[in-house]
Amino acid sequence: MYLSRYLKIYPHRQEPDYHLFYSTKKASIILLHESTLKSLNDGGLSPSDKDTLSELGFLVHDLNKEKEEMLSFFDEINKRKKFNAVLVMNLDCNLGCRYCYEGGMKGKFYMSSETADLLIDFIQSHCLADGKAVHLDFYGGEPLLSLNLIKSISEKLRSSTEKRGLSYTFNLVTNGTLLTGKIAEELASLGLQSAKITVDGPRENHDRFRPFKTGSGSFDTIIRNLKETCSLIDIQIGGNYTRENYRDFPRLLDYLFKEGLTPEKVYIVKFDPVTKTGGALPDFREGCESINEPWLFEANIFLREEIMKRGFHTPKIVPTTCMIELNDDIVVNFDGTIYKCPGLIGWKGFEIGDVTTGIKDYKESYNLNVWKKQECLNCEYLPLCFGGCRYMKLLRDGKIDGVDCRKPYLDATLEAFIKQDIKYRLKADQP
Amino acid sequence: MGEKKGIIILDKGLKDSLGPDILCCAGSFMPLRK
Repeated sequence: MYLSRYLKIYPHRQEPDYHLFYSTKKASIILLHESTLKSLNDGGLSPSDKDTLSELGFLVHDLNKEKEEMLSFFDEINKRKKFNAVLVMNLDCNLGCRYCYEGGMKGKFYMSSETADLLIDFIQSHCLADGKAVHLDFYGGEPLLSLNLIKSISEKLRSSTEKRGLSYTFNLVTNGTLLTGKIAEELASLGLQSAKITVDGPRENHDRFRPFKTGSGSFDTIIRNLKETCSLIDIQIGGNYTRENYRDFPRLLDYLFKEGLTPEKVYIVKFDPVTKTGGALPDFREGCESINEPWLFEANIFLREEIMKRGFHTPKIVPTTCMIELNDDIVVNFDGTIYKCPGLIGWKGFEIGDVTTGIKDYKESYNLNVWKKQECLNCEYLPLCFGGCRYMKLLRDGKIDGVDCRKPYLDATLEAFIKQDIKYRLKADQP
Repeated sequence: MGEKKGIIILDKGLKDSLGPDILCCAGSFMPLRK
């Protein structure tokens, strides 16, 4: 048997005769004594140790077969009977964020009830008929400006799925200013599970970047709503930081604590860098185009540490993918046009169909095979990357003619992330 | 001194051999799914 190519080995600071092993394929973490590693290399590993290491993804029978299996990594996932759609309910908003991701596309564009009905027909004939559960992410603009339509869609889908013994659930991506306890309660009864709410650090920073259109701050309204909703649904707090302000973000966490929004009441916290918009007239010129910008290495390690040391939950490091790889994941724009990526809403050449005519082939336009080359298949980080983000690649280079390689980023950060998980999540001794 | 264990499992990882849990989504546009 052989060591999997999809793993990382790090030194153990406190006990030098152990090595820290992390499987990028299975996200398993072990400490391996150097004598066991020697036995492995000499071919003298006990059968029980071989079984353990195989189960955890560290040993494989055939390295070439392991590599080939990565080519069909998504085939199994794509057999799952679950349909997911991101619905852009509108491109309107009650905030005037400086870095708005809708860029020059903002405006009073709303999904009509006719388009919503066509979408429901599409879901019924393509998904429910195939026995698939349905999950929607309501997005925008600000989706709660389309509250009545969200309720109407949810009522219809809840009824259709229930009749077939299938589930219907949904999430919201919202600025949080309109998500009161009353609305959360009403939507929870229709299938709302979770809301991702953006808070850009402490009040003075958040209000500078995310004011109401009137110019007044939105921070206090959002905090009030978080308190009302955190016991009703899962709250995911996101925040968009820049190089200049990321060090201020931990003060938000202390404020949440002080206001009673303690880790038990917040499902997850994750901060991300502001990215450039891709519209014809980008409003914000300071966002990043690549996860490999060096300041991001320090920023991400710092912020993750600050989140975890206060006891808040943040995502584990596990294999990730982009929805482009998942057959049953789509984005539906307010006008019924379908895309494969929320960043590419409105981008010419990236529509893959619409709710009336259905979906056409997108293998070429989205370059589905972009990571299926030897350089990526041989890379230990493949399961954490799968070619990175096509949207970022487009922003940088204007075309998806190659991968958005994440090796520099993972080389600089993965060891720190795993050791954070060991220390805070697994509460084991610091390796 | 006690004998040291050859393998110490800190995290067994994903239940299935395949199956990412989380969408990457361009810097996390999207909420995590359960």
